Amino acid sequence: MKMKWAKTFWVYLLVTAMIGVLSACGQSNNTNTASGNTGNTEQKQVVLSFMTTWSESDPFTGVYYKNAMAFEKANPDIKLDIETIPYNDYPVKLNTTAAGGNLPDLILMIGGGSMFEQIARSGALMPIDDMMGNWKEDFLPSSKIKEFNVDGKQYGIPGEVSYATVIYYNKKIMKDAGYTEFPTTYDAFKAMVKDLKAKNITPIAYGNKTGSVLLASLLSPLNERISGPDLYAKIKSGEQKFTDPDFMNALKDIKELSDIGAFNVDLNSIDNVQATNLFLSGNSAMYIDGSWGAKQISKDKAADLEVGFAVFPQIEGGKGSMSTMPGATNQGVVLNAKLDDAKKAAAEKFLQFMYSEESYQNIIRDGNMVPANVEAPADIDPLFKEMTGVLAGVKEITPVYDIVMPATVVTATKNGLQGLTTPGGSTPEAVAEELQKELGQ
Amino acid sequence: MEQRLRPKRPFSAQIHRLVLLLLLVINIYPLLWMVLNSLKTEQELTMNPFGIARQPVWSNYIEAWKVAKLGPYLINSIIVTLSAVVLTLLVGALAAFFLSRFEFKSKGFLLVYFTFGMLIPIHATLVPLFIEMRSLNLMDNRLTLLLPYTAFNLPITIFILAGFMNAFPKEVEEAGIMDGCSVMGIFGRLILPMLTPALATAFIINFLNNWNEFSFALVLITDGALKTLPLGLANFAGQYNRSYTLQMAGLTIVLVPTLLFYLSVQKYLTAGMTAGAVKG
Repeated sequence: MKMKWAKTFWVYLLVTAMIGVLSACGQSNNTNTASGNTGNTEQKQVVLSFMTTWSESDPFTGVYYKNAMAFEKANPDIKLDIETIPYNDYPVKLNTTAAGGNLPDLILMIGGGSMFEQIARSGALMPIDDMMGNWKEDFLPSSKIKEFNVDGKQYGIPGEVSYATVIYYNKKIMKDAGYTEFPTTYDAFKAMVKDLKAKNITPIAYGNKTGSVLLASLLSPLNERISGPDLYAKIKSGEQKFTDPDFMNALKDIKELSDIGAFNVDLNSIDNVQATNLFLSGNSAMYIDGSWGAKQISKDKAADLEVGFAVFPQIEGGKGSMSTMPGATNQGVVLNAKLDDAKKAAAEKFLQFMYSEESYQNIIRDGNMVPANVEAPADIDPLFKEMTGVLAGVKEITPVYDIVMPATVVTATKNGLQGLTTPGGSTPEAVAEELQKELGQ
Repeated sequence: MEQRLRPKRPFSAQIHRLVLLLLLVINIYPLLWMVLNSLKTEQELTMNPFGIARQPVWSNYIEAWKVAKLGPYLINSIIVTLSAVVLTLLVGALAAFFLSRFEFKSKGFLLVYFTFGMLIPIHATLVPLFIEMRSLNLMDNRLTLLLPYTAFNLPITIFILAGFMNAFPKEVEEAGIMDGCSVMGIFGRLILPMLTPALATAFIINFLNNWNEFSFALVLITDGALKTLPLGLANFAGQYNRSYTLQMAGLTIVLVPTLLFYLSVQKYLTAGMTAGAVKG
C-alpha cells in the first residue's frame, strides 16, 4: 500500500511538471515568433501569411507551389508564410477562419462559386479592380475569369480552367469492337454503348461513390446539350422548373443509360480512383471525368495502353453545341480586406507574378488548361497534347451545376442521381420533384 | 497418429474455434492488405491489387515519412495525446470519486450534466471554440489542443469510472476511515488502485480519440511545428488524386505505436480487481 501511494504521488508530480513544461513550451514558442517578426520589420521585409492547399509533393498543385517559391526568390523583400491544408479539409478550415474573422493575408479559393461568394459578400475580402490594369483583355479575357467576380467586383484571378466532361476511351477495345471514329451524335453514342454491352464489355466506368462524378460529368453536359448554356440561371430565377421537360429529359437520359447497362454495376459504391483503375486495367471501354483526370491516367497507365479523347456528343434538336463545355475556373488567390498599404503592394506583386505569362506556361506544362491566351510550350506530355487538341474546339465555358446551385440542392441531386442509377431506384419524375421542393425552400 | 494422442475436444468447442478463427482472419486481413500494398508501386497496385509485391518498394516508407511530415508530427501527437490522457484521467477519476462515493444535493444533476457532454457533436463547437481560443490568445501553442481534448473526453471518462466505482463495497471506505485515512487518502490509497481496469479502459478510449482527432487539430493549429499526425496523413489525398501506396505506408508507420501501446495496456483490461479487496 505504501508503495502504491508513493506511485500516485509521483504521477501527480509528473502531471504538474508536464503542464508546467508544456505551457513553458508554448510561451517560448510565442516569444520566438515575436522576436522573429521584429527582426523582419527591421529589414523592411513584408511577411504575407498565405493559406492554401498547394504543396510541393502534390502532382496537381506542385506547379503553383513552385511558382510561389520562384516569386519569393525574385522578391527577397517579401516573405510568404505558407500554411498548407489538405484539399479535402480546406473548406472546413476556410469557413471556420472566415467565420471567426481571422483570415490570413492571402487566401486560396480553390474555385469560384457559392462558397467564395458568401465570403466575398461578407466583406472579408478585398476587391482587386484597381489592380486589373496589370492584365490586358486579349491576354486574360474577362469571360473566363467571371467566376471570381462577385456583384461586379473582381476578387481574384483563376490559375486554371477545368472542363467537367472529357470522354477517355481505350483505343484498342473500341477498335476491336469495330469503332475507329468516336460518335459525334448522341444517338450513335447510345447505339455504341448498347453494342459494347452486347459484346460483354463494360461501356463506361464511373466511380460515383461521393455522388459528384455523375453530377459534373454526365448531368452537366446533358443539360448543356439539351437546353443550352443558361438552364441553371433560368431554374434559379424560377423561369423554368426542374420538373419541366428540359431538365427531365436529362434525367431520363441518365436513367436510360443506366437501364441499358452503360455503367459498371458498382458505380455508386466505388470511388473515382477505383473507376480509373477499372479503365486502366482494360475492364471498361470508356471512362468519363473532367479534364483533370488526364494527369492521373498519364501517370498510372501501362505503356502499351492507348487512350483516346472525345468531346461529349451533340444531341439532335438540342440547343447546345459541341463547342461549349461545362467547366470551372480554379486556383485563384484572394486578398484579406484588412491588408495595410505595404502588404497590399506586396500582394499585388504576388498576383502579378502568379498570373503572368511565364507562370501560366508552367501551369500548362504541368498538364492544366489555363484561362489566359498563352502559347503552349513545346515540351508537354504527348497524352496531354492530344487532349488539348481534341478540346481546342471548345470556345465557351458554361457553369457547372454544383458551383451554381445552392448546396442543399446539390446534395439532393447527388443523392437523386445515385437513386436513379440504382436498379429499382427512384424515377426521374420523383427526383425532379424532390429537387424542385428543395429549391423552393 | 497425432490426432489420437490429443484429447478430443467437444464438437461445440471446435465450432467456437472455427468462428474465432474466422473473426481473426476478417480482422487481420485488411491490415495485412495494407502492409502488402504499401510495398507496391502505384501501377502495380492498379494492375494487381491483391497479390504480393513483385519487388518491394521500400522507398515508399521514406517518401511517406517525408510527405506526411511524420517526424515532427509523431512527436507532437505523442506529447499532446499522452498529456491530455493523463490530465483527463486525473480530473475524471477525482470527479467520478465524488460523484460516485458521496451523497450531496446536486449529485443527480451533475451526473446528468456530464453525461450530456457526450452528446455534443464536435463540429457544432468548432467556430465558437475557434473564436474563444483566439480571444484567449491560446491559438498555436502546446496547450491549444490539450484543453479541448481533455474537456471533450471527460464525460465518457467520468461515466466509465463512476459506473465502475459504484460497484465497490462500502466496507472499503469504512475500513479506510477506521484506519484513520483522510478523504484524499481513501481516494489515493484505496479507490485508485482498485480502479485500475476501468482506468485502463478509459486510457485506451482517450488515447485513441486523441490520437485520431482531426477537426480541432485542423482548425486550431496553424503553426506547422505543432501539427499532429492525422493532419499529416491527410496530405496523401490531393484534389484529384490519391497516392494509395504512400498512404498505406504512412498508415503502417502510424499503426506501430498504436499497436505497441495497446499491447502494453491490454493486460490491465482483463485483470479482475475488487475480488479480495475487503480481506486486505
